[in-house]
Amino acid sequence: MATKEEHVTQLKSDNAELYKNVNGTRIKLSDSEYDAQIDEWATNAATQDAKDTVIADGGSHADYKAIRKNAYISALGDAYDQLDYIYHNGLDAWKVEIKKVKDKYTKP
Amino acid sequence: MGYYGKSNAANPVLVATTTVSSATASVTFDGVFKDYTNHYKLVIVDLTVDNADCDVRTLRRLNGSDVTTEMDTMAIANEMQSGGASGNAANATTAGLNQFDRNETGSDSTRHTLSVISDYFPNVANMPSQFHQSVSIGAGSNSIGNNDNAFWMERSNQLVGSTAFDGIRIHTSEGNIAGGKFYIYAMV
Repeated sequence: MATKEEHVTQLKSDNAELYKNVNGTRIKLSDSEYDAQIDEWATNAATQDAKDTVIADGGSHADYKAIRKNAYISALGDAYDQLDYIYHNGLDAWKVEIKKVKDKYTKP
Repeated sequence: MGYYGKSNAANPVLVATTTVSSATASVTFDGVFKDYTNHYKLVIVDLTVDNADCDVRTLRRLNGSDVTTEMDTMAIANEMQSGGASGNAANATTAGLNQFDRNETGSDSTRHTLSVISDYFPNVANMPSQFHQSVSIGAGSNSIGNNDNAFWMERSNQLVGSTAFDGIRIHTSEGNIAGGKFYIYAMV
């Protein structure tokens, strides 16, 4: 997982200059606009890296509800699939699978 | 081409367009939303990005500056193939961002790249200060997970409070826009 500073370095290396398109005209970003754009991208990249790490390895995250929902679907399928799972395996077996996800992804 | 004035007589009129073929950090249309049209449509065709693992975002603009006042937002997204992942995004307030998911910014040899339709519905009677209701749909190729899958996302935003805007800025969470065709129509 790269830090924000590492992302800044990489983004500056990849983008010696940046442009914007305003009403059809391509304009080079000023130095302050360039720094702000690189900072925004690096912040977003570092934030996404942290979230991806939690999704892969588990842990606490502010988006735990959405992460859990995707994990439920990955493990058991959508709501209809989960009803089918309960029909075939029982509620207790379903709760075991759900608890695995809840334990892996926790509320901050 | 229809008439664009006090009314465009229900004929869609192309208000602004640009084609990106060289990398650009953002695409901005300033001063395009006027106070006499009830429905505008932003159409983006074959949007490609330098970093596929990014979200595509739009921000409102007013007098050449970004507008970041809050909106209520809700979305649903899905892989299109049978058995693919699906789900609703949590309903939330957002600091002005409308967003298309990083799942749909990929490209491959057979699938379409990301294309987007955003419909903006001004309340003309309350313009310019109470202006934002939008429905956005994007569809493209999965950029994460299974690259062969198609992915779509539908999102709605509704203004919180009273904030005017007259333009839109399209950008990504990380990296340049590499290409795409951008159009804004005044609909009715």
